[in-house]
This record gives sequence, C-alpha cells and structure tokens, in this order.
Amino acid sequence: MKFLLRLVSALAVLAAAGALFLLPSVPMLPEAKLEARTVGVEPLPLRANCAGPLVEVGGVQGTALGEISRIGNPLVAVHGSELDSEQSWASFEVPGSPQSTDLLSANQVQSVDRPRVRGLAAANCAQPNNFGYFVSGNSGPGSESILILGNPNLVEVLVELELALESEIITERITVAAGEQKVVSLVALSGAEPIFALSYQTSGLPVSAFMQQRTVNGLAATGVDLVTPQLPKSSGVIPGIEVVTEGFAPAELRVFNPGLVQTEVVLQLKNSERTEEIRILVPAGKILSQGVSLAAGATLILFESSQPVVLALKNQILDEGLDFSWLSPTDGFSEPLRLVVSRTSTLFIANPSVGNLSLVIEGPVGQSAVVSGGGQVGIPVTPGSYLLSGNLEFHALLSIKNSTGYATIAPSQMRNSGEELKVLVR
Amino acid sequence: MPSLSVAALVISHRQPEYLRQTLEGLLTQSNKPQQIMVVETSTDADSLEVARSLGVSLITPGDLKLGPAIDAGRAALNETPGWLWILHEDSRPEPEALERMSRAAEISPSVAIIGPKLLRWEDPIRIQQLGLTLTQTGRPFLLVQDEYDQGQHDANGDVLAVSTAGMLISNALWQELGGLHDSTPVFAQDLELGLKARAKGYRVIVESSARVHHAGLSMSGARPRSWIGGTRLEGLARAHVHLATALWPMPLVVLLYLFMPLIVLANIPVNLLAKRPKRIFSQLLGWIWAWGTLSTRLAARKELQAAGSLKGARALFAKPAQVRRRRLSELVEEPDTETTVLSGLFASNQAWFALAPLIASFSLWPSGALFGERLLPLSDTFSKVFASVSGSLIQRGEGLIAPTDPYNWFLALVSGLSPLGPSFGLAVFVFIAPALAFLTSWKLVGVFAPKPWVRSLAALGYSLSPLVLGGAIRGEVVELTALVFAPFAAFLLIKALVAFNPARAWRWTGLAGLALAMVAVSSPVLAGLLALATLIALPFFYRRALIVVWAMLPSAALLWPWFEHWISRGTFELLTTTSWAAASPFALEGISGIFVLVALALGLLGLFLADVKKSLILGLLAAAALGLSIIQPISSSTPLVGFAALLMLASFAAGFDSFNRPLKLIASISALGLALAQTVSLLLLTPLGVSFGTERQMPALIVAQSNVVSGQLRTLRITAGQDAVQAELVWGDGLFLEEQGLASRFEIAELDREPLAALAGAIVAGNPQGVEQALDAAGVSFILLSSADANLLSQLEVGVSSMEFLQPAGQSEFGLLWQTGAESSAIPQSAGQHERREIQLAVLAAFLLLALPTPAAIRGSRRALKGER
Repeated sequence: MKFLLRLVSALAVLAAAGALFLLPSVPMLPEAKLEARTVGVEPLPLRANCAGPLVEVGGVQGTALGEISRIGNPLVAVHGSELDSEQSWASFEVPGSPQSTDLLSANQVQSVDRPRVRGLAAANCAQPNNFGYFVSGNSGPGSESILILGNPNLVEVLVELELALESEIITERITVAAGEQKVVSLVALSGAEPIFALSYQTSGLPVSAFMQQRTVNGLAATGVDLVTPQLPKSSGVIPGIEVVTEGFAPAELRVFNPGLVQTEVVLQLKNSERTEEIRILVPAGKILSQGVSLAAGATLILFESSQPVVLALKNQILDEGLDFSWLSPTDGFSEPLRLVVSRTSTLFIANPSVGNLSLVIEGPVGQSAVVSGGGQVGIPVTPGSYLLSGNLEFHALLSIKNSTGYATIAPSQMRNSGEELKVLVR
Repeated sequence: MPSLSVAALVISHRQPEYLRQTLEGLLTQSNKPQQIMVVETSTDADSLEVARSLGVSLITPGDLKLGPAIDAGRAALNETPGWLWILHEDSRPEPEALERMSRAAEISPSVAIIGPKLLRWEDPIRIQQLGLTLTQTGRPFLLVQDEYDQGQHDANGDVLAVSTAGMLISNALWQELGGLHDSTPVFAQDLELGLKARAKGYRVIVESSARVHHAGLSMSGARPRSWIGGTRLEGLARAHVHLATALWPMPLVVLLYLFMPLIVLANIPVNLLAKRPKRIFSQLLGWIWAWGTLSTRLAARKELQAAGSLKGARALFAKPAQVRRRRLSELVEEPDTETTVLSGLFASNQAWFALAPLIASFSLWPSGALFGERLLPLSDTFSKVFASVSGSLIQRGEGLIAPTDPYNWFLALVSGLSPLGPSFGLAVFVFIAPALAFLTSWKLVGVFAPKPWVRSLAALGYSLSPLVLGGAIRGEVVELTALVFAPFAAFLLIKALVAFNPARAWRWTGLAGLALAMVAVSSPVLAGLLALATLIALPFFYRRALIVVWAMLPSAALLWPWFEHWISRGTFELLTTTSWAAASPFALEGISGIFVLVALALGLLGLFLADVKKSLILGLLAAAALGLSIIQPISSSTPLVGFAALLMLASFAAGFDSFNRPLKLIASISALGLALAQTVSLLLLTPLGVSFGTERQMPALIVAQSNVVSGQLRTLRITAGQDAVQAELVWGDGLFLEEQGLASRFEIAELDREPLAALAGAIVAGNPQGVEQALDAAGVSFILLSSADANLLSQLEVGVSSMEFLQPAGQSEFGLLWQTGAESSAIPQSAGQHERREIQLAVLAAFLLLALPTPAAIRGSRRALKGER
C-alpha cells in the first residue's frame, strides 16, 4: 500500500512534468493595440541656403591682419525657386507639397584663381539645421579653415561651437544676426591644430553652415573647397571618389566619434577591380586621421559602425590643375532626385543594396543605367536640370573636374516633417 | 452526621451518560439527601431511562432554562427541604461532598450558599473552579482555574459567588431572592445570586473538602448555543455587560452605554494582539445586545441595589494581582502533540550558508534605482507609492478606470521599510532576495527533513537556482517575491496547523496570512494552490482548522478589487497575474530546464525513500504546481515551477536519512558540486538584466514644477520614430513602476485621441497653426520631444523651435523640452476604491497584530520546545 501511494505520487509528478515540457503552453492573451491615426499637417516651407562667395582672410597678399573679404561670385543653380533678392547671400524658400528635391534643389559652384586662393569650390545648398559636424578642420601649416554661418531666421541665433582638438575641447559662442552671415576664421580657436572636428549647436533655430578649406604649398595655392556639415551616422556611402593619378597623394580619411563609448568603424573600399576593408577603432570623443591609398579610377566607400560617427575623405587630384575636395557620406534617395547641373560633370550613382538598381535619368539627354548591387557608375552630364529615379535607394554625387580645379556636390534630402504623419496616441 | 434536610435537584439536558454518573454519585453519598429530583429539560429518552432506572424522582417540565428548571424541581419536591443542593447532570459529587458542605452550613449560621471544590471530570486532580468573583470592571472571574489540586487553596472560605453546579443553598434564601432570573445572561446568573445573598447579609463560601467532578459542558461549548444565548464568548460578553450595568455607578453606566461602540472598536487591536480575535465578534454582539435590552439591565440593577449594600462584597472582587497571576497560570499548558525539536537556523550555524546566495548576487549590489525590461524606478516617497495601492485610475490618457496592480502592495511594503527611498528599497530586495529565499526554503524543508545540513543543501540548491538567483540577475522582481514568500507561507501554514496552543496558532496564522498575501499579489495561482492545499489539510488538523482558515483573508482582501474587475469583464486570464512588471511566459530550456530536471530526478528518488506521508504531500503538491504552471497566458510560470522544484528538493532531503553513511557523503558532495556548478554557469551565462540609475522619470524642470503644483501637471511626450510618432499625456512627474498598470496593456484608456494626434502632428511638423489653442484646450504645460534617431530629433527640433510661443526649456536625457505657457488641466482623481483600500488596510493591520509575539505565544513556544508542563 505504501509503495502504491509513493508510486501514485511519483506518477503525478512525472505526468505534470511531462505536460510542462511537452505540451504547448497556453497562447498568450493578446494585448490591446492602439490604432495609429494619419494626420495631415502642412509642413514648413522648404528652405535652402548657399554658402555665398568664397572668403579670403588677410587680403590678397595675406598681410592685412583681421581682414576677411568675400571674393568673386559663385554660380548658383536652382530648381523650383527664384533667388531671394532680399538676402545678401543665396537663400530660397518654397512652400508646398509634396516636399522633395523636385520642389527645391540648389547648389553653387565657384572657381577662383588668386595668388592665395586657387581652385574650384562647390557645395549643395542644403536645408539649414540646428546642429551639425565638420571633420575637415585643419589649421596646420599651409591650411586654413573658415566657418561660414548663415541665419535665415527673423531673430538672432546663438550658435555654440565645439572644437574637438587632439588634447582638449574648446567651446565658443557666436551670435548671428537675423538674415545675416558670419564668417569665422578658425585659426585662433583651433590653436593651429592640424586636425580638428567642429560641431555647432543652436538654441533650436536652424542655421546654414559651411566650412571653407584652403591649402597652400609655399607661395602656391593648392586648392580650395566648400564643405557642408554632416550628421553622425552608423552606416553610409561615399560615392564618386576619383583618382586620376594613382600614387600622387593618398586620400586622407577622417573619422570622429562624438559618442561616449569607443567604436569600431568598418570601411569597404570598392572599385571596379577589388574591394578592400579597413577597420578603425575610434575612442569616444576623438578624431582620427588615416591615409588611404586608392587605385586609379572611381572608388566607392561603404562603412558601418556600432555607434554613429562623422566621417569624411579628402581627395586630392592632379589633373589639369591641383585641387582637392572633401567627400562625405551622402543621403540615400528612394524617391526621385532633382539635380541641377551648372558645369559639365560626372554624375556618380551608387547602389548600396544587394540587387541591381535600374536608374532612369530625365534631363537634357534622356538616359538609363543599371547599377549592380554594391557598385557605382559615373555618367557624364552636361549643364541642365535632371530628374533621377530608380527602383532601389541610391546615392548620388556630382563630380566636377576642369582646368580650374576639382569639386564635388552631394545632393541632400529636402523635406520637412508633415504631410501624412502617423501618430499613435497612448 | 449533619442533620440538615437537603433535597438534591439535578438539572439535566440530554446528557444521559453524565447524568448516570452524577446520579450514581448522589446515591452513594455518605449523607444522603432526602430526595433526589431530576429535572430533564429535554425529551431525550436515554436520559429519562437513566433517571428511572436509578429510582430517583423525575420531572420533564419542557425545555426550560436553568432558573425555571430549578423552580420546577423545587415545586415538584415531596417535602419542603431546608436546603437545596443544585447539581448539573455533568457534576458528579464525591461520596462525602454533601456531608462536608452540610457540616459547614451547620457550623456557620450566616452561611447561606456553599459551593464545593469543582474538579475536572476527566482529570480530577485538577481544580476546575473554586468559587466565582468579578474583576473590578464586572467581568466574571474564576479565582482558581485549571490548577493541580495540591491542597494549596483549601484554606479558602468566603467568595463572592459559587457555581450552580454543586451549589448548596438555603431553600428560604432561594425563595427570598427569587432564584435565578431568566433574563440574566447564563454566566451572570450564579454571580448575581451570590451578590444578592451578600447584599442581604448572608455569607457565600466554598467548602474545599467537598469535591464535585464537573465536566463544564457550558464553558466548553458543549451545551446547545440557545441555552447560553450564543457562543461561550458571547455569553461571557453579555454577562460582563450585565454585571457592569448592575454594579457600576450610574454616571459610569451612562458613559459605558454611550461609548460602548468605541470601546468595542478600541478593543479590536487589543484582542488581536492578545490572539483572541473571537472576542471581537462576541463583544460586538454584546454591545448590540446591551443596547437592545437596556431596560432589562436597568431593572436587574435596580433589583440588586434594592437587595442591600454591596460595599462589603467588593472586598471579594478579584484583585489586579490575582488577575495577573491567573493569566500567567493560563500559559502553563501541556503540549497536546509530540513536537519534534528542531535545531534553529542560527543555533545550528547554518545561517552562514545564506552568505553564499548573497555573494552570488554581488552584481546586483544596490547603487540606485533599478532599471530593466519591465523595471522602472518607484516614486520618490512612500506616500506616492502608497497612493497607487488599490487606486481606481491608471495614469493613461484621462485615466484608465481599472484597479492598479495588486503587486503595488508589496512595492508599498518595500517603500515603507526603506529609509533611503522606495527605489533603493526595491533594489535592496532584489539583492538580498536569493539569501531570503535560502532562509525561507530552509525553514520549509525543515518540516520534512530535520537535519540542518541536509536542509541547507536543499535551500542552497533552491536559492542558487536559475529561477531564484537567475531571476534576480534578470530583474524578475515579481517572480522573486513569490519565490521568496511562498516557502515561508507554506512553512507558517504548517506551523499554524500543528500549533500547540490557540495563541500560537493565531500568531502563525497572522504571519501566514501576511506571507500568503505577498504570494497572492505576486503569483495568485501559487497562492491559490497553497490556499487549496491548506483547505484540504484542515480536516486532518481540525483543532486548529477554524483558526488557520482565516489565513486566506488578507490574500482575498488584496486581490478582491482585481478579481472583481476582471471577472466582471470576463477576462479570466488576468486572474493569473497581478503586475505590469511580471515577466512574460518563457520556455523551460537551457540552464533553467536542466535545474528543473535535476530537481525532479532527485525528488522522484526521494519520494521512494521518505516517509510515505511526506512523499504523498510533497509529490502531489509538486505535481499540482507543475500542472498549474502550464496555464500562464500572460506571465511567467517561474513561481510555480520554482516552488515545485523546491518541493522536489525537500523530497530528496526527506529521503536522505535512508542512505547509508558512504552514500550520504557521496550525495552531499555531489549536491554541493551541483550547486556550485549551477551558480558558476549561471553567473557566466546569464546576462545582467538590470541596471542602476537615478529614479527621475522626467526632466528636472518638470519634476520641480510638478512638486510645486502637487502633481497637477500635464506634459505631452512625443516620441518620434521613422515610421510613426507616438504621443502620450504624462501626468505629474512621470510614470513610475507602481503607476504602470497591467490593465493598461489590455484595456485602452478613455481619451479624445483625434485632437491630440492633430496637435502632435502639428508640433512635429513645426506648423504653428492652431497649436497654441490646442495646447490650451488639452491643458498641456510642457512638450517633451525625443527620438532614438538624433538626426530626426534635430530635424524635428527645428520645426518645434520655429513656434515662437514655445519656450525652449533645455535638453535632457529624456529629450528636448519646451514650456507651452498653458495652464495644466486638473489631473483626474482616483475615486471609488479608497474605501476598499481601507478595508484591506484594516485586514492587514489585524493580521499584523496577530503576528506580533505576545507572552502567550512566546511562553507557549518555550513550553512546547522544552516539553514542560
């Protein structure tokens, strides 16, 4: 009898354990789900600001201390708007929807040939923002970095600058009057540091920001460029890195980690023949610079990082003249991209996806192209307005090379929040 | 030989066996009464047959109470005697009882009432009664009760009154006083008779040499309740009120009746603390009875006062020292059952093992508020945490009308105990929970396996298991609570069932009720299983059944609003869980699965080695827990699986003694090795699921503003994602753990969502049209904008900053903040559940009082342990 009772007890445990391990558990009670509401809100008008004329510090000879002057006039190409005549610098505002580059798209190109400034400088006229990063800062011998801040708002804006130097962080506050531009030579702030990252942050209102880079070698000017600000990204694409003369000068890669933890950046350098991988460990808050040898032809860089980083590559070319350009990760476009071309250029289209990209280009000359996954193509384009549309997300870069120098234009998204917003109210 | 003429009146009511023995005692008296008259107030044929067979006079006047029955017996006597000897059918006199009492009557002419020494019927070496008196407040009091008769009280003489069981009273006095009054409570009748006799100048004495064996059927509750007018305690309460009314000065009597409800209420905690909860109800009924029969009480008072002065009689009232001595003597009791003497946790030095789980929890060292998958900080003060207990509104939208989580009771407990703030208290609990689980499981295993080191092995296996230690590392606070308290509740319930005296049973029941309530608010299914197991066990422990059954009350009280809500909604799945923070259902795999399998294997072995009763209890209970663990549609079944595993470890421990010495050694080393391997692999493989941080849930500005306006603040929190924007109205200083409601996951709060969606959309788009008015209408004072995508956040900030009427208020870890300038709408107030909370609090307070140790419980414990008398 006792054994029987023990057996009953043991069998009960075994049966329950078997059920626990073998039976499917009771389905979980579904939770109540809130339905998202679609809200149609008229977005803010699209706005684009250009850098305006290039800047010369110290006069023609560089001996006029404290003199900062604008030199020449850039060629501004715009789609969708007329130049705002009330602004002393190129500023555009277009209301309406749907918002995209097809509503407003602008860029500027300026060639200059002066004793201390020579070369081609171009930049996309982007939407102003309340913060951004530059990693191209260089105040070392033969280099000059100038920050151009524009305030398109109706009230003055306080901009806080933060320079991440090799050994310290320097902050500075600058007030920019309403509707004005302010040019800041960064030599004094950066303490002749050869490498530094600069970030700007406003109290909320957006500003336009550009960094003009100028280099000289002895008494000879060796290039000028206009750099647009970036936002930190965990992955990205830099298309259209052209190497005309292999081995002339290695490209300079800069990576800045604005985060609080160390991160590893993995870069894939792809050209038509091979793919090279570079891994860079970037400590928190540090900027690193590394030379990268690129093969002749066009190279595409894909990168990934565990933390958002700011990354740019200085590409110096010796073709008809000596010049350089800073290339940054470009925006991806899933919708059609409107691009205005003012000089004969090469349009690089990169496809970071796995499948083939079928691209249709509408413009002065209709074209189509297929870009294989992870690759890029360079398409010569003449001045005019182009509409690019593809079946996959693509990245675009306009590369201008001529006798006056070398410059790149990376078109950016033009959109404000609004239109069809999905809102979930808890 | 005395020459008194005495007639014996035996008042009987359906107790033929007692009656037979009493009559036999009467028939063998050395001084025979002139007539023996049996007054049988029932129609019980056996009783009648007994009386007839022994040849005594018998009348059956019907179902009369004591006074009228005696009067009926007197009236039926053949001759009028000088004295009446009143006996109950359960009072058997020794052969010389009457002779000795008669002699005392002859010696002292002023003596009109004589009582014998009443001895216990079944144990006649113990005195049951030796005269009656009153306390200073008028409560009936026995001068001697349940003491061994060593002649220590034989010198006693004058008393205030004697029991009618064995009372020898002058027939003339009986007639003069009018006998016993039917309207007087039964337990006050003999006292009232004695008081009247004293008032008339007669003496009432106890003749210690006259011995009567008394079963005390009335006092032991063996009489029909109608005879006493309720339970024994109700009868005593009525007697107390009656005698107080009769004896107290009139102004005090007025005050007594006016403040009687207050006195009854004030006595509740006293009775609970004294482990006499049954008195609460009887006092309550006594109060109602007293108010309802006030005129009768006053009439009785008038009659007693008219009998004469009671000044002399007051000297015979019980002195405080006598009352105190009697209370102490009540604590001397013999153990009812043989109790196994267990070595204590500290006495056996096994408490040191509790350091092992504590050390293994080193990664949980409390350094701030806990954060985890389902863990948030608690509000910063106990009062705020307590406000969420049993509230009727959950802070969603305009308030979700559903009960807050029952688990908040445990959070409130932790908050109340923590001097460094509620969140820190919770962090401390998680840190020490494995060590606490060791202690509680050690106690439970001890019920089945007495050897301390065997208990320690099982408790180590449990506390270092992936379910307990792993649960702490994963931050499963709710499951941990159940796993810590369930063994303790089970242990306390068992202790209450086998308690050796009622005081201890009440104390264990108090503790068990509170521990079970903590299990109920963390795992209602496990609590239900423990309650069911206890109910099944009650018939086997019937002596404590009516006490232990109360242990379910706190659990029922705390779960009441929760169950009521979900049963009314027909959502029965929600009855299985009680907290927003409960972990989701999990598959038993990996290290947890291995642990359970090992515990089951050991436990199954134990089932065939341990005592069969233990095997049956442990096996069936573990099977039930495992079986119930399958039905968990909302939360994790860890508590049930963990408890089942502990029972299996206890089973193995119970069977451990069956091993021979070498096997014991091997098993011990293997068990220690398993525990060590389990701990190491657990610490290496289980990722830490919690982190520590500050308890703030909103930017400092909002918290400060909320404190200024007493929480009457609304913030529109907008969280932007790539696909959608989420908007939420946040009350006060943010949503803390206790303010999260499980109900909010299954019910949608009432809120006019269209305007808020439009407002959030306009803000995100930076379109100021109508935003200011919408903010005013919604009563939103702050806008908090956040996004996991810094670039998107920056883009949105541009839009929001373009609205001049919004004042930027800075950036924090919670996002970007703007002040709107609008005045916050009033926060909806909880209503409707607070009265329930008060009932819940009253129940908890009552059980807390029961759980507090008192001399009765402590001395009872010592006597039980020492086996003293």
